[in-house]
Amino acid sequence: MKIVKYLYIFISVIILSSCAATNLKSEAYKDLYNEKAVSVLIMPPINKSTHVEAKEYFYSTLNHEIAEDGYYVFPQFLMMDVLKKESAYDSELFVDRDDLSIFKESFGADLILFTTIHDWKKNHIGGKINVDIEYTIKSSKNSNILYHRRGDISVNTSINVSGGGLAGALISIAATAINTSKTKYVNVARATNLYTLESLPKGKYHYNYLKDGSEQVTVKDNQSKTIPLDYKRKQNSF
Amino acid sequence: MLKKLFYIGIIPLLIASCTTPKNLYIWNNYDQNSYDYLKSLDEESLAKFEATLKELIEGTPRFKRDIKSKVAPGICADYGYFLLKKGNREDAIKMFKQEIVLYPESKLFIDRILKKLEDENS
Repeated sequence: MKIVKYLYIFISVIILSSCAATNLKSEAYKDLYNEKAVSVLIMPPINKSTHVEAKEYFYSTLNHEIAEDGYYVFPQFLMMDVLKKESAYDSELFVDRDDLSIFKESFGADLILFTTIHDWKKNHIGGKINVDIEYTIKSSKNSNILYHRRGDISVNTSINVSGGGLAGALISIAATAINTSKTKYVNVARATNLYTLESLPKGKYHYNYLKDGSEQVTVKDNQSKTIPLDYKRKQNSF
Repeated sequence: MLKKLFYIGIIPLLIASCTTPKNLYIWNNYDQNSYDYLKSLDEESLAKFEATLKELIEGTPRFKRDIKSKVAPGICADYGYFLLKKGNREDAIKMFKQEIVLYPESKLFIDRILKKLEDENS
């Protein structure tokens, strides 16, 4: 009997810990709404993974995503040149700093986005690419963290060949392995950005600017999730 | 019967179009070409990326009220940057100024670049 009781407690804890918290967007990101930020400076991603190109996959896709969320994003290549000349290209030097006002004073940036790629792994047989990534958006006014997400995202690149029994299954495995090695990793980065930045409140240029506060958001921090390569966001219901 | 089939086909299409968010900007092959240039930094990938930026600027109808017709943030300034690198200073400045027209929040940053160019010239 005691064992059954412990089993219930154990299962309850597992279920509760796996549930992500749901909140009103205006409450979850109160400080970000109050900030009324317009411009975002995307710092070069910090790559802690062993996959050397992962930094470029994300650096070349993040501005697209943040711009589509309605924010002004500084010109990627011009900014990269300026940051290099001013010895500010190393994100590691700034990510934990208490004072980021230099970016406001020098460039007029309201928000600074730091990205850390903790891991990037390919699984040819399973047709998945696993990305452990962390996004931190800080205010340039006071360095407060206004948005934070860390996700262990698996992007599914598998191909299913329906029917055909064992032969069909073998074709699926072979096709998946080929597809995974041919997958454009830029698309993997895009899918990861799309999913992980999904609940970011919309910026000034978005048609839902200041209208999305009543939306219910699931705080997806520290989540493990499998998403398709062509991951698409759903239209918000407001 | 045909009418029924038509409705069966059209309703899911309408629902699907309602649930997919609208894009604010046109990007074409921006992500891939930006990555290719960032990775190799060679002439070939630069030419391809520049062509993408030019296409986005010239192919996006401007001066319309519809927000979707705007060139995406940073595109004009980045194109100006590449023009400047090739020595086309005059057109580069035009592009930098266009960035400010489209996105006034870029003024502080772009003015710094324009000031630097002026100083270099004097």
